[in-house]
Amino acid sequence: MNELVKCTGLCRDFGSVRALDGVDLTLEPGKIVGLLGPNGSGKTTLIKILNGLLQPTAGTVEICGAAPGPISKSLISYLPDRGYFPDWMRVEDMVELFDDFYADFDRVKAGEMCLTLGLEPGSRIKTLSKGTKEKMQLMLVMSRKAKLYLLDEPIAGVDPAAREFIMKTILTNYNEDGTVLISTHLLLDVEQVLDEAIFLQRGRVVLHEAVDSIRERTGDSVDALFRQMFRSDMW
Amino acid sequence: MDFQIQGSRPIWLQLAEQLRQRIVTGVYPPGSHFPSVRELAAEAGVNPNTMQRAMTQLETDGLVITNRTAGRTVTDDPAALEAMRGQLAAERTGEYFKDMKALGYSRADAAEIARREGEKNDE
Amino acid sequence: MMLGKLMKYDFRCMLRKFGPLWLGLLALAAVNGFTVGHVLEKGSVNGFLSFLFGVVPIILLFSLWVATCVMMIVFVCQRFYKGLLGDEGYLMFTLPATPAEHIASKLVVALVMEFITGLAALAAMLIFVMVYDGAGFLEGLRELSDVFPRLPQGSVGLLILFFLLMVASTLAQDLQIYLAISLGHMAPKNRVVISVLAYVGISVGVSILLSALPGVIRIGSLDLTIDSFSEAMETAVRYGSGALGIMIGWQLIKAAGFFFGSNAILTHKLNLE
Repeated sequence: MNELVKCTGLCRDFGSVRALDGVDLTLEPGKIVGLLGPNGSGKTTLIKILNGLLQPTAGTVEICGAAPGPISKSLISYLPDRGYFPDWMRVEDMVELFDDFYADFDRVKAGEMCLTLGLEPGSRIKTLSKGTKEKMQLMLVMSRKAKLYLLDEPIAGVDPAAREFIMKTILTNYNEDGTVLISTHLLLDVEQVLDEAIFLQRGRVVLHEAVDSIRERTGDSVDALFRQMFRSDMW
Repeated sequence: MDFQIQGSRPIWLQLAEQLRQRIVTGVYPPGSHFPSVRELAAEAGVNPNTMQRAMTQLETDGLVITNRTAGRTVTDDPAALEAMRGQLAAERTGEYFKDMKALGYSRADAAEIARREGEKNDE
Repeated sequence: MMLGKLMKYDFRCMLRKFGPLWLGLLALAAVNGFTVGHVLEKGSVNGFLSFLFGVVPIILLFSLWVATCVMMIVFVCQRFYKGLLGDEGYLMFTLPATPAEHIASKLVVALVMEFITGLAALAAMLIFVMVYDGAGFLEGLRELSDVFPRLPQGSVGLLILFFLLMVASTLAQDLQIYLAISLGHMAPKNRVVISVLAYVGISVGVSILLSALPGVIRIGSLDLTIDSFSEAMETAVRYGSGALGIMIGWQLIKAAGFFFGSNAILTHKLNLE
């Protein structure tokens, strides 16, 4: 069983809205994969199903051959698109928490990353600016030697200089034996980092291909193909 | 001397070119230890597999030697470096003559302009 | 074990909020012991100062007690509603623990908090009496120790059963809150309102269920509310510890049912926004 992630016929409804409409997907270890699509295409829903925050309405999902549960959660390092911290904690409390719950957490690395990113371990989370909170979240997620990193819009709402910095931080720290799934609609900043690209449109996978293959085939960037395919979905 | 990447050309090719430039101009001195794929990939902000492909090209060119124990080192063979330097110079010059031809200059005129500008440059 | 780790963090959060409250209660009880005795009764100071040092401490103590009681309910609700089903849920439910472990952790810490608060209230009363009239307090203790051996047989047993009944019904009470919040979570909007309605709905539903059941069980299934506490006592005195046992059992059955329900909702119907 070489597949890290396997989704078969995955569907998810929210009332009358069909967020995922039969997703078939396989992810292999050791790749950096882009989950690309406009807002509302189902990216966040898919990620939530992968990390067990949501149940599918139909279809199956397997992480390393098993359904999502405590075991798959111990293998997945998740960066959500929002802050999720108890206000009263300090940065060092969060480091302790991750160290307690995740066997693959590298405390030494976390300390180094705090220095690099300029994070004060003793500071209270509620006093931090939005950007600093995001850095802390990134530090915690990337200090784990996970099998699967799920990064939901890591660079949205961040200024261009910081975007480059975030991408470099990810590249420097991720576990090379694992897979990184980056969900974003900002393809320009992310394209050169990807091995594979998945295009998600209205809850369906319309493309899943190696990035080099796309560039050779079309003679242009993946971003160009993306714009072309999603012209009608963009404002 | 940051890496400059454009979207439309193959990235590994651009990386290989820029790494060649760095070696020939001495940014990575002959015989020195070459940075790892991962470090370079992070510096350039690219996928490590892409950087690996660029590195493989450098190995094929004979500019970088991979030793199982010592890792990657820049070649200290002066012939190989000189050959690459010459090749890059030839490429640059070829580009120059192509551009001048597009502007309407003959090859002789282009060479004369080059010589004159070269003298100005020394001052 | 994951449960232990979860409890570690829930405990820390709880102690931060309640530690000061408990200490405040004990301190104010001591202060009041002094002021009620020396200021109000012996009248050593007059007029405005008498009010300041006599009445104000009483008001403070009373206010603090009310605040603590309110805080207890707020804590139980908030830790579940915000701590599991708000943004913090994104952290909680991606930890390698099961929903059952999360519920259990919140429940255990809530129970400990409620227990210690009860102890703090008792301790406050004792401290008040000690400070107010130390000699009289010691004499009272002596009298009690005389009375103890002469109590009817099995009284201690009954007291223990009563204590267990309080624990069991608090368990059921807290879990009913958790189930109500979980039910509210399934609604697309107005989750707080629906949770409150759900809480009432569960109580109503349980009573309807009870009234459908035959005779004997009804006697032993009195829910322990403030009103029927005396009924519970009467029942216990008349029917003995067996009745208490049945009441405890009933609370535990409710608790188990509410736990299952909450767990099922959090496992299959989780939808954080």
